[in-house]
Amino acid sequence: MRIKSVPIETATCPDSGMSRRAFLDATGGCAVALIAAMGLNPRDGLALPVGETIGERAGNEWRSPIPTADGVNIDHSAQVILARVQGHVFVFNLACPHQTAAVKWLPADNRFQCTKHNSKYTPAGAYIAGRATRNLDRFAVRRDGNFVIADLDRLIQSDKDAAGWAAATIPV
Amino acid sequence: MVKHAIDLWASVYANHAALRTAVEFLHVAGLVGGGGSAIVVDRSTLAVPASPSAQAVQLTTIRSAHRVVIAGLAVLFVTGLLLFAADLDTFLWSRVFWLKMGLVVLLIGNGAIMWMVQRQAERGGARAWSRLRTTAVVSFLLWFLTILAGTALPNIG
Repeated sequence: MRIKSVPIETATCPDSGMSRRAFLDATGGCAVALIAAMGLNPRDGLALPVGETIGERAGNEWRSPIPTADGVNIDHSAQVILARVQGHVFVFNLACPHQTAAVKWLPADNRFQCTKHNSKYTPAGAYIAGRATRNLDRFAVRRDGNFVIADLDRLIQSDKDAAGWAAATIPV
Repeated sequence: MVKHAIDLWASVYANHAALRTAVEFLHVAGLVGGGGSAIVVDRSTLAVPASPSAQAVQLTTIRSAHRVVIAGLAVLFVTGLLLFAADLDTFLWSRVFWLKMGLVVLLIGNGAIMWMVQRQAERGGARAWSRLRTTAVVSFLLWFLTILAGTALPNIG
């Protein structure tokens, strides 16, 4: 089959009559408009900020300053999430209880979601939907001045120890 | 502005199963189309007999495969970028992800070398076929290692 060469400026789609240049201009314009619309998302005002925190490890303990405002901090090296939500501080395991893939924080939705099978959790770690069968696992925590200390050997699963899971928080 | 766009994309991606399916399908399709073509050609390059006519046919096959592989890589790049943006925080900190990216860079570099060696072989370069076979072996291995890294990515941080 021989293909006839047509200059880019004048090439047209036989069905639409739109030139290639016009098509590229239109799609480019749509992309710019979409990006602009993304920057004007009104739900952003509701989102908790997310940040990186590197807590100190000492043996089986993980220690970090108590966040001064509501937000989510993730320590990837220790595989823990530090969250301050409505007067409570929690330390979660970064792994989803379903198949231990990492969970991610979705600021625009104000919730956690598993990166593998999309199980959803509230900022306090409560299960919302998905393949997981329990809440995010919390570490046992205690307060030391302005620091939160998590016992990395005491991971509390909500389906086995509901009371312990509910108590694994520091009121602030 | 960029952060808002990425956050919104992460949210849209997380909330739309059809979108996730489409992006992941295209990523796998790019892999099967581009990587599959490359692997088939790599194998035939290693098996081609030392006769000039067979080698000429193989060089034509390699040349035509380049277009398919590059198209596959383009699809992989675009969908990979969308997947990366949908889960930026996880991937930025993932050693397996950066290992995979390193393998992709090696794959592209090897592809460029293969393209140059193929041109040498077409001009009758004395050692070109030996180099072409070497790049075919490297390509074969790198495709599978990249697939391995991609498979490990959701399972190992």
